[in-house]
Amino acid sequence: MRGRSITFWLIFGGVLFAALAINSFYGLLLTDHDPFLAIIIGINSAIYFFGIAEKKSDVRKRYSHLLVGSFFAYVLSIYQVLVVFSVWLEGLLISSCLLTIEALNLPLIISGFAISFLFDFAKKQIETNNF
Amino acid sequence: MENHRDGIESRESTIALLGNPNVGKTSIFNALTGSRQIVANWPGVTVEKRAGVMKHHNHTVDVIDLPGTYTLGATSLDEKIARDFLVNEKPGVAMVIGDAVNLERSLYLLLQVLELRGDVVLAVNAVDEARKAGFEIDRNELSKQLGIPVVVTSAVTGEGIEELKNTLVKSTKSGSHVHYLFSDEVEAHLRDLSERIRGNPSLAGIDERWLSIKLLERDDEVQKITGITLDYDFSVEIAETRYKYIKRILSTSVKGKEKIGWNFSEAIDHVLTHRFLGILIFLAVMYIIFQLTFTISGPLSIMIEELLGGLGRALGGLIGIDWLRSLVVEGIIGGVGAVLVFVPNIFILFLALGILEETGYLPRAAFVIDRIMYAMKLSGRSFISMLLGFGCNVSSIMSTRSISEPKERIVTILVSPFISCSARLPVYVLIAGTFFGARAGVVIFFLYVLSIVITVLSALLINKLFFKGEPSTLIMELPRYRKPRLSSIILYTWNKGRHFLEKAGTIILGASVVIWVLSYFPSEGTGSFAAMIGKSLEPLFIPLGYTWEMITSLVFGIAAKEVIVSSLTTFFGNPSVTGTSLGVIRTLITPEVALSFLVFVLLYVPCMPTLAVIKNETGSYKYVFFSVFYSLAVAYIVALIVRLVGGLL
Amino acid sequence: MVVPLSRMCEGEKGKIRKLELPPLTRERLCGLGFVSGEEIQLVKVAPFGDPKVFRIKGTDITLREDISMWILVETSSVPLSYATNGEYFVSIINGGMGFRERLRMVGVEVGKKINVTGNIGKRIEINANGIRSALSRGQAMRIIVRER
Repeated sequence: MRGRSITFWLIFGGVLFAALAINSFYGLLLTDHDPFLAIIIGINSAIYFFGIAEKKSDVRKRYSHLLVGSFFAYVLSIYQVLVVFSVWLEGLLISSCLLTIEALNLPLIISGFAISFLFDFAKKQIETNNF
Repeated sequence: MENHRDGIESRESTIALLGNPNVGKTSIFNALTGSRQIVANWPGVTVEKRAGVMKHHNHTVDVIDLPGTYTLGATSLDEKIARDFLVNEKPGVAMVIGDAVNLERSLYLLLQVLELRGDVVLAVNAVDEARKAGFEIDRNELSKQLGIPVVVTSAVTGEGIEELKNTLVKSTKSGSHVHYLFSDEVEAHLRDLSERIRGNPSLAGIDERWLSIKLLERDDEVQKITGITLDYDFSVEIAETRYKYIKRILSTSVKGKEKIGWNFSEAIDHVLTHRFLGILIFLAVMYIIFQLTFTISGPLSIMIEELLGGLGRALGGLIGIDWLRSLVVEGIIGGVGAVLVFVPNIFILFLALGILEETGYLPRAAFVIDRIMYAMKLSGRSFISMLLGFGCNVSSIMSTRSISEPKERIVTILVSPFISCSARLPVYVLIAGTFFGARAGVVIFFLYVLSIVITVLSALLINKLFFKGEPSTLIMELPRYRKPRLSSIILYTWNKGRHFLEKAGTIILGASVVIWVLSYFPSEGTGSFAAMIGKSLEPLFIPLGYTWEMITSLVFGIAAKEVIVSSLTTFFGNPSVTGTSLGVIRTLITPEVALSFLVFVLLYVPCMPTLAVIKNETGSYKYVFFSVFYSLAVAYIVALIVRLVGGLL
Repeated sequence: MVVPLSRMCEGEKGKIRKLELPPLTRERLCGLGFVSGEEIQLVKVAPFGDPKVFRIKGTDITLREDISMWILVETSSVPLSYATNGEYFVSIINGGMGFRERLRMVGVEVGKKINVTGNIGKRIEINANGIRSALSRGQAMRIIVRER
């Protein structure tokens, strides 16, 4: 992966999660209004953006931001799935459905799983190349 | 440890495991013993002792996991335990587990063991990681140079474990050899000292050269048992000689060039310990853990509640005798149930902590917030323990096991009760909801902030009181990241969770019965012993303005703070889901008294399971008494201030 | 030059010279590889400036200033704010264009010689390219100099 590609993916990740953060903060599209979660998603976005702040020549540092950012996104997706599952289970127990489509925050779950592929890729790059 | 199998006391069939922390010693121990292990405490101290049994090819051997140490000096408790075991118990085999990626450091410990005795086996672990990093260990060459069996293993892939077991059951007796000589001057001293030691019959069982070396290193323990103290100190030279020898061995036994550039761990660390992102990521991780704990334990707690409720009804229907039924249903099931409902909470928190520890992230988290903790004379590691306190104080105190500095550990243990645990929350919700309606949230937030403030101030005060205000030392290793193994995490969570259940469960059971007796006899409710206690204490609480019902519930709250809720509802109203049925209480006390009551609940005496764990982890009743009186004093004073200030507003 | 470990530059390597610490601490560090002549590298600095992560014998160890300032190392680079009087080369300037420009005006540039004539109190007096000036500690922290 050349330098320019990394920059692309860093910007992509940063913007995507910034959007998801704003989405969660205001509860815009397919998601509930959850300011705290929004902050956490924002932190994920920051991981990518700080990667861009690294010197262009420092490839390994940029890769590491990609690596951790993607893993974190993956963790967020799993977190969301677990939370949703618990809410559903609780609803089951008190015999009233507590879930709404918005509570799922599908945009977060899908994005997280999608971008986690970058994690495997970045990991391979770091292990096979001698930066 | 005795070999009971043929009735003969035989230390020969004991293998002791030694190694630096973080080399995978526990994984090897698990691989050798499987699930046949017990976890206890080393006698008289609060350090974990893991013992197990290895069965291999008709051999049955005891395996004991000594604490991880870097040297066999006596500078820390862990080292003392490891060394004492080797010297006093003389296990048949001493196996040192080394790290293939950091062999130099591992060999330093090995050499110290070799100075002491023979029958040593070296297991070089994580050899798969070494290969990935670009080097290969020539175990035959290593074995030749050291004169002991060397096995390369990988606890992760399972490589070498079988061979290791074979090597361990083969009995080859060998005495200790001398592998390297120090300078002429040092050797001369060693000869002199050995002479003097030889004449002392009480030191007969211990290698005299080892004792002499330790004397030249000015080792306190050895100076004491030999009665010899020297004015010269050769510790620096001795250490350098050992390292020189190690470098020589490694030059012939380790092949390949280390890959330049970053490995996986370094790459991750760049972000996780980043100047700006480090703390943000830490906060995010903490948020995720706490949110998950509360959300997942929600339905699980409900399930437990239903189960217990059903059990209560079933048993209630079966028992004809009134008081017995009440004892079983309300006393035992109700009381113990109050704590059982928290079990999912606790287990999940320990699971999260276990994952953080297994992956290696914990030291990084401690590193990132250390500076803030330093102001409290504590370290980053304490912060993690304290965070657990928001779930349950018992778990936070139990988790202080891994804080290596004893002073810091005790301060952390003593301030933990001021961290607002989840058991207090129902009380807050009930009272705040009744008195402050929509503003209840603000009140509860205030309580949490107060909790943190008092915790911080207490940390400083207690440190000054007991330890002259000296901050602890921080020398912390950041181990490589590793993929957490499911089995290790489950084992870890289970061990810690079970410990919690045992401690909390037994105490609560006893306490529940006592509380039940006090509130049932001579006549339930206002005629009970409990009410009498409450009424008799009323004069003490006049400045605070609490009614006897409130005081009584506080007394019961000592068993477990959530019991306060059930006590209050018993006295004041019919139990209802929203809790506003306590409306009658609004006629009895004013809002500022209610607020002061909440503050009192937050700060006063730690609940009994917490007290039990404090005794357990500090090893003395002194701290338990201190905890009780200090917290009572703080609670009373602050609650009083709140009431008076509140009255003015 | 010999400086306390706490004054090394991020990423720089040095050789341990001496451990001026109480015996108990020294022994603990010894087991971790902190002996005379051993190479040590400053890997990372925590968000608030302390503690720091050092790499020694392949392991990363965290130390606070209360220990690291008593370990003396021999290293070739140091932030200007810790430089004693003498002649050095400027090797790195951590800063933006504006900062570099202001420094260039007083003769401080990467690769050029710089003479430290006084290092007391709040200012460091230098003589670079014939121009005498004094820099604040904050500025000097961002200039890394190398011995000749």
